[in-house]
Amino acid sequence: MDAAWPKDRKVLSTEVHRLDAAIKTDGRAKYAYDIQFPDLLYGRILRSPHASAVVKSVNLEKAKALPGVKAVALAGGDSKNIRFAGQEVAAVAAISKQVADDALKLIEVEYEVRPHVVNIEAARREGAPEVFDGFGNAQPPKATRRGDPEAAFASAAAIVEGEFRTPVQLHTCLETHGLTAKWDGDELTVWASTQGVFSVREGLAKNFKVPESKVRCICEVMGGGFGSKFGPGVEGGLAARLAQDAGAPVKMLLDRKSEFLAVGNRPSTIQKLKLAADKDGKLTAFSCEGTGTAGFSGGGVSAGGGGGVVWPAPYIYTVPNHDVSISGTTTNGGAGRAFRAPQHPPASFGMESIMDMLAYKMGIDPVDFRLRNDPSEVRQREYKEGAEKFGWKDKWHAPGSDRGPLKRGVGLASAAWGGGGKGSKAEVVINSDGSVEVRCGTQDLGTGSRTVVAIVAAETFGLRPDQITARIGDTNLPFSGGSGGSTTSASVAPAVRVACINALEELNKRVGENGSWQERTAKLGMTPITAQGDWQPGLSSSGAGGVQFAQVEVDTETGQVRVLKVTCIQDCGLVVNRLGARSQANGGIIQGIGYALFEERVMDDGTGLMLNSNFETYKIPNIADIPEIDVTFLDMPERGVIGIGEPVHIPTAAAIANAVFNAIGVRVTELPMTPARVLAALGQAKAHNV
Amino acid sequence: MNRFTFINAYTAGAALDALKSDDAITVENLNRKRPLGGGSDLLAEIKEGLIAPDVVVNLKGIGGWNGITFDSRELRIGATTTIAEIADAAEIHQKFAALAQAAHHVGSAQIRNVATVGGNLCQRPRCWYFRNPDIACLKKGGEGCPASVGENKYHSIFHNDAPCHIVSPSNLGVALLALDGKVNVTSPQGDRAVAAADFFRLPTREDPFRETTLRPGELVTGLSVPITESKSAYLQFSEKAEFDWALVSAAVSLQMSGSNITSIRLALGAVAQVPWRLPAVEKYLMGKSATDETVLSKAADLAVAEAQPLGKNAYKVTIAKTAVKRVIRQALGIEV
Repeated sequence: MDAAWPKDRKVLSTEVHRLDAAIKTDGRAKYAYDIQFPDLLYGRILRSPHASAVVKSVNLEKAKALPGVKAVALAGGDSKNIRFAGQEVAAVAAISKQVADDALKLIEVEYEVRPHVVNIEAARREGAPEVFDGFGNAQPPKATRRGDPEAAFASAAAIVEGEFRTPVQLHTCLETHGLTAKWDGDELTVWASTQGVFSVREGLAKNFKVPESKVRCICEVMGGGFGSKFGPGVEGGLAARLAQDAGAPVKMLLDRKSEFLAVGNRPSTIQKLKLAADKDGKLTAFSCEGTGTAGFSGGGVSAGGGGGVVWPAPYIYTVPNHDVSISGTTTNGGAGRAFRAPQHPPASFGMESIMDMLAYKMGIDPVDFRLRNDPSEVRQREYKEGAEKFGWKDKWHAPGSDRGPLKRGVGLASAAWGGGGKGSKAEVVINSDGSVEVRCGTQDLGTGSRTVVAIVAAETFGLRPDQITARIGDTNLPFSGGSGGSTTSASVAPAVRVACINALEELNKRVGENGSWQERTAKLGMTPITAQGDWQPGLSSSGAGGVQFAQVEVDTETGQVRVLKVTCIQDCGLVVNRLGARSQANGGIIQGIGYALFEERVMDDGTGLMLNSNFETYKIPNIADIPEIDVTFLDMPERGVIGIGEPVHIPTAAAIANAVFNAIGVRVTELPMTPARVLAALGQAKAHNV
Repeated sequence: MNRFTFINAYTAGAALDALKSDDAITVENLNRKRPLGGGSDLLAEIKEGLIAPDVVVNLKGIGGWNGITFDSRELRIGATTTIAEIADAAEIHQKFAALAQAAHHVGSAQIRNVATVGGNLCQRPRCWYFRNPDIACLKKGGEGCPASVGENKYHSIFHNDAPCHIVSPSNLGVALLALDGKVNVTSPQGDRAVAAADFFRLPTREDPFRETTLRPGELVTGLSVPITESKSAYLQFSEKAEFDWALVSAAVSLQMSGSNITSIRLALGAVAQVPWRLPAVEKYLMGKSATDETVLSKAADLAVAEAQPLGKNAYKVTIAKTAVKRVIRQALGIEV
């Protein structure tokens, strides 16, 4: 049988509610934090209050002697050298969280405090304290050059220049990082909040020098990772060590403050951009000189990598002559990690801002300007259909032309993302009672992967999704990779499809093709059908675009920006679950609104500490900040399955920034666009680098 | 969280006994014994490691401290009345709009359901240096104010000669000042009613520790507001649409003859260490037309004439001007 996706689809591409929606809303779903054992211990971590220091000594004796404390441990690795405030120093496991907290206070640490540097400009200054002795804070630049940019700028019809800044953004997973670890002899089982059960297993096996076959990682449900939860993390390693030493399971889930300090972020950027076009409005030259900070490190193995500063420029456009040089800056801050389309949102903000500047300078409609310059055929369609749906022609007006203090404006921006599928495996069991179990070692990052598995099986067998038992989130299941890079659906759906087709072939062979599902499976008797499937090419593809339009209202007397509407036009290949895909788009856009208007890590130069390590002052959107969101998917089933978790997030902030310009006639060049920055742009308040 | 003795007080006398303290104004005396209302601030202070009290006294069981009552002269609200009860009271909306609107803007629905009037008036500042247990500052018995040259976008724009640059976080305090309300206080020496203006205090070098004139061991029993013919309003501007602290808030209470103002009390919030009354603006506006754009603009300029913004909060001066104009319009039912 051909595994190709059916042309006539009964379940695929429809709106299917998440299979685990009910248990998540009524509390039955068991998250890592909900795992309980009679002898369970609580792990807590002592973190450095200094941004830069050398640990001279740590005395754990008093903590160890406290009644109720079952194990103490020093943090491993390079924990002698403190490179950011919040770095792990030691950990304890105790019979209650309260006892563990009391024990932390009894740990005596002698620090030799060193000078710190937490902000980019200060870090690049001559004579700045070095985060790593002997290595300058300015990292070697990554440079690309094409054509003859100098000559192209010299002969251009129009040139614009600007400096654009984006903040360090935190992942703000609603479920914090961590896991519960339990040893049985030399076998370790962990219940982790993770987007990669197999990568957590690999990390722990290496850490403890045990075979991977002795480590099992389970993640039934989890509360968000956004790229920061691929590995076990320092906290996961400490939990497993404490559990080993104590001879009892240890639960180690971080508190919110630790979550803000130590488990990743999206690096900041400072982008000096210059863009030129010829008289027809075709881009001819581009230059970018940039920096940014990913804290003390761009992310390591335990972090899943992918957290560096460097961003793609000139992003989605092809400019025949360009000069790009980006040099990261090392600072005493928590390390960057992969974060929902790593460095694409800042790339989009910088590039789409300067594109907009050039369009307005040349008197070309911003949509038309992109049509002239965007090489993607798919996005060409998306600009046109999006502008129509959004009502661009009616809503657009000359910048700043509304009367009165409340001014409306519109803007757009676009995305490009690779994604694509790879390497997943799946197994299907059909029992004689007609029940079906699909087994695949992926995990549900919150995107609805469990339901994706069930939808594909249901379509193939002619059943309903709720008739399928989808088993995921366990390294005892057939291998599937981490949920990252918008690859999950494109990896999992083909593997499940192939396994189901193989199972169906065997079913047909054994019991024939006539009769209902129940009648046929009943004939299986004592021997169920078990069939495997591997991901194979042709059922998925990579390369998504996506265009978003935003309408805002700006109060020019207070600097407040309100997003009124976002229209998203996204190609998605074969849509697996239309409801799930729309939820992804809604979430990506809401997170983009946070990036545009609210989110920003604030580091204090004087103390080297993060000042807003809480949801009170690290602000994310809530329901009142969320506008009308209109999502349209370009159905292209012939392309197979394409993941969209990332592209739907990329252009939102840039579209909002361009809408703010259209509203007030001046450009806000730094995210987030807070009242302080909007008023500064309007000349209503002194510009501050806040 | 540290271990402490938890006492349920059922009478004012019992609460005062349980909170009896050395009268000296020190960080220790102010924090060794603390009263508990809704706990939305106190528990956070304890959990964040800012304070470690020996004794926590629950006031919510005290008879007569909860509820909203009126007589012909004044509105009285007990200290343990929740913010939600004020925000939901139709009669307060009708006669004391500023107070109801101020209550409505407090925190989130969940916080309004537990936070109390006494707690709102006595809550500690939100300054992120003050709130960080790893940072020393004058208010916590340390040296200096890191906000003076640090990250001060949320800090005071008035009275910055003071040694500390917090802003008063109490919404009700701003409304109370505009409505000429009083804070009722009990102490071992007896009861007293304190005008809102005298309840909140500016920090001094000798005593940067207290934001109110309450002494150790004293308690707020409630607030009272005189019944007048005034119209009033409260508004605030924040970064987020809801569930956020004010960057600037404002409250006004005024009486009109035609379009002319015949009496007015006007206050800004989140701009100074105390709710900030604007007597020069009030004086200027007396007898003038509240619908005259030139008059309102002049009033707005006057309101910030003495502003001394810090390095990163000059934008709040602009917002303060807007707040003055719009809160007057809001009281009179005029659109932005």
